[in-house]
Amino acid sequence: MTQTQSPWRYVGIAIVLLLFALPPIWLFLSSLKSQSEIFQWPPSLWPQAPTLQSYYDTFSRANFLLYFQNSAVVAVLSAVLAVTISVMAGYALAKFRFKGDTVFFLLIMSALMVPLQIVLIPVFLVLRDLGLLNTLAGLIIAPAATPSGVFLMRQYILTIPDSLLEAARIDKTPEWRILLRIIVPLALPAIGTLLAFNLVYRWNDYLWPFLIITEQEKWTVQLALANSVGRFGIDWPRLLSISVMSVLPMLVMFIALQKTLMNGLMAGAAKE
Amino acid sequence: MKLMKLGTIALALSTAMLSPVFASELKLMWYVDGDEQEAKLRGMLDQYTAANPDTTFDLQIVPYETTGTKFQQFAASGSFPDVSLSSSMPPIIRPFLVDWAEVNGPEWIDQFVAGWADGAKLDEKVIAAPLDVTAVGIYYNADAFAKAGVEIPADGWTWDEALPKFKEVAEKAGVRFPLVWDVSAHRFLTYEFQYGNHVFSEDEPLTVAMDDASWEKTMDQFIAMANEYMPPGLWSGASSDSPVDMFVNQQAVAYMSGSWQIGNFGDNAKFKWVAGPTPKGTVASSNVGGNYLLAFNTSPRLEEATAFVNWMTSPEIQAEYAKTFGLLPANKNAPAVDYASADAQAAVVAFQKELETSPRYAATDQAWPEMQATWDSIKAGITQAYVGQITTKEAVAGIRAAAEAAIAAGR
Amino acid sequence: MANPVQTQPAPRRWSLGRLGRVAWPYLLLLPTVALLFIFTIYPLLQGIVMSFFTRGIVVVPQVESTHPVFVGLDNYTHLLGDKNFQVALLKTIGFVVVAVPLQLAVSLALAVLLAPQSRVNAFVRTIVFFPSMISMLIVGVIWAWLFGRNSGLINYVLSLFGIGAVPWLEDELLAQIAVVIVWVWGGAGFNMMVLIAGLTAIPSDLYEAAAIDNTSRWRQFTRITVPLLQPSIVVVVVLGIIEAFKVYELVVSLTTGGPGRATVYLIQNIYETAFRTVNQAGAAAAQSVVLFIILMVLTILQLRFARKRS
Repeated sequence: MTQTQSPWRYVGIAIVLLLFALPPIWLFLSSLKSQSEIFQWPPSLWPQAPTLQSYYDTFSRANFLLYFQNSAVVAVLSAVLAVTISVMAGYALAKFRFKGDTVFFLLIMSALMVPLQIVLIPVFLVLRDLGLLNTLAGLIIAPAATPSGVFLMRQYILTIPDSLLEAARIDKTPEWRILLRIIVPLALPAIGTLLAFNLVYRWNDYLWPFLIITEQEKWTVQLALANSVGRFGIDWPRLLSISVMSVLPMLVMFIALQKTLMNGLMAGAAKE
Repeated sequence: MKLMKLGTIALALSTAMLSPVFASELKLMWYVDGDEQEAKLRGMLDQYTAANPDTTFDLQIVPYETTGTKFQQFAASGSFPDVSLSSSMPPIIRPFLVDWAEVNGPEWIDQFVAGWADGAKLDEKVIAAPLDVTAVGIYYNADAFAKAGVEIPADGWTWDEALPKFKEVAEKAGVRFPLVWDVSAHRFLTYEFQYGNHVFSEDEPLTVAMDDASWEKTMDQFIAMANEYMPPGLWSGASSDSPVDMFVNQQAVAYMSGSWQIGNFGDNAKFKWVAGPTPKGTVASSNVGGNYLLAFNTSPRLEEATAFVNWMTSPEIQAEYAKTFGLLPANKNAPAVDYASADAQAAVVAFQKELETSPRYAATDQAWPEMQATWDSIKAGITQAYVGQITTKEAVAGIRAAAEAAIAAGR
Repeated sequence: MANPVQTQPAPRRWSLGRLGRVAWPYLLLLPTVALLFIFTIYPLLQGIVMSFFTRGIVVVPQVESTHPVFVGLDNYTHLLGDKNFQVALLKTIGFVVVAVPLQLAVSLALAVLLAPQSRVNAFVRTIVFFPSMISMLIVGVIWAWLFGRNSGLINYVLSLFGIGAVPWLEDELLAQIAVVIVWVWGGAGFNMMVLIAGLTAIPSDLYEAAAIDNTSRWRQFTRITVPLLQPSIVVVVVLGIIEAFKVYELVVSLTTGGPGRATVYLIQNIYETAFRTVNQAGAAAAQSVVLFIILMVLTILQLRFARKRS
């Protein structure tokens, strides 16, 4: 891409920053306020008496670190599993002609068209029959197949030239090596995006944990977050502080992932 | 299939870790407002375990909103917790509920506040144990009234008398809104009660007892009141305004809510507040509500479960529970509760009195099992009529249709 | 790349069975298809069966009214007279028609703006991706609060400029616009990343050649970027349409379907029919099947169209 920087570009970037950064900043600033200051009118733009009380309260309940740990285990394992099988399936659908390929593709896509909210009860019974209720394993395995991930990988792998694969096949490279040594490195930008997406999705997911987990020791952060909404009102400081804390790991992950990806891309470009 | 195998191994591991479960660990499903309430609840459970060392608890906290979905899951799989907190007993769980008339005898239920106890009855059975009772009523910002030099009449007033005064106080004391009102079917229905309207007949045979014309007139009145005295848009059903937080932040002169706020205000309101007298329409009426404890007959620990529920609903513990959570005890034999502050004490007394002097339908309407299938139509009706998507005539017709369908569906 | 010495034994191993080569793509698909079948497609099939019965969402043997009764196509014919369903369906289609193109335009603009590798861009990309890191429920909660008519920050800032309170969420039209804005805001980051990943695959020499020919920026965009980015654009559009048809969590936390029923979209209507009315699970299932058919047809058409163009 061209690297010339016009002043319009900076204007555009400034607008983008304003629109996307302000709500999260407001979220963060509000998390430093007490419940009464949150609802003060006129609102205080800057916290008048900034306090970390709600963060302290959240952390002083010892279990919160456990919820974090549960979420992390589930998100990481589930995302890795999801990306792995999505790359496999996406590759199959993009680069092979085989009997029933269209049917398989549509079958996978059709799974995307069923909102989980609607099939809650049948899914619950399946989970029970497989003995996955109230287990982190259930949380990791049950949602691991993601049609959108398969689709994303298929579309990206479509752009990889067939000639590379044919050359490898003429060299009698085994198929698994073609996948690992050619497809995976070339699809790295899409894999990175998909990994980020899956981590975020699994980390933020509420419905599956709600369905599967009953014991408090196995709660994820989102279950704890949802519990800020009581029968007669919302515990705003708690909700805001947990929201902020639950985003931090995602932020760190994204920054790290972006850096690795960028380096990978540059290295790839340098080789060419 | 390697993945599935891995899954099975992980599964086996996790169940292995789980296995040293106490023979009598009771699974409790509960909802709370805030972590403090959870801590208080755990305190009471520990107290029970101290007295009954064989019974421990696995407390499963769920958001109140999701209890219905949880019940559906339980009913689908046939496995329930041992005991659950609930405000209603939907039809699909009724076959699984312990019949307290059988466990404790048919007179046992008579020791509880009648209006809430009626809701626990299903024909000859008693399918729930009343835990606490709530009353709908109004709170005033007494400081604002004092500042404006307006007096709250001790022997009550009508909405027609009260509303202009709220406005006067708002103007003179510099408070943003004269009135805020919980956006809930239950709180709206209270206003209909105050003009003699109710949904169901008070006695068997159960019929829909709505005077449609009167319902419509009252609904029109309510919408006019909401437009003139409440924050704009509050009743649209989409507003993010929080009535309770507005009142606590002194942005409203009066707040129509209920007795469950007493504990909250005691902790968080930094001004002098009083509960009641709630303005009346043609009649004075509150609205009964509260919580029940349910025990499930699927429980392998049925004896421990019923013993625990009996403990929670016994007079002494009822007083302690009411005090701890700032609620009204459901058990009439509970010794006089000594609430945290004089304000709280006065509020409880005021609301309890309003509950006692309410018409019978303030208790029976919500007590009929058929009401569970009617609430949603009330909320949908009033919010849609408020924003003008439907007329009040259509709204009332919708409520009637839902109520009639609920009766037709049977128990 | 491949070391010929190392790969020497490979042909023999693989030629042991041609079966291996034929089975390979099926093996690649197996984990995904198996998991989807167990946890999504099998429950979906149950849903389709359910749509031919009246029954409760849960069938309890002791509760007779929940028992399934076969009614043929009754649940479908009833939809023809179900005003709530029809309004929700039309509103949903309207939402998709507005929100998906807007989201594509916004994400494409962001991707082109932020694709070049630089520190500033990496930072801005992180900010833009931020909303995608928060769950839609929280996104809805934050914006409901910002949009608040009497307590919201936006109206407060407007009031400083002497502008009266805007009923963002309390006006039927504004509420629908608010849902679109927040949906685009919440999803733009993810789609931008998909498109940036696609942009990196476009060989830079194409742009260099275009620059030498003095081709304008806009022509470069329409002649090089858009055609070569097409596979990624298809992802954004196909997934966008499906996700937009399924919009639910955001609406529940932003407007709860209000004012009145102005923002009750299809999934909320289905959910409420299934779980909040008595023994209407069959009707809800029929609504789901209609949604399923719409999405299936749309997806097949789009993929056909995409294949033809490439």
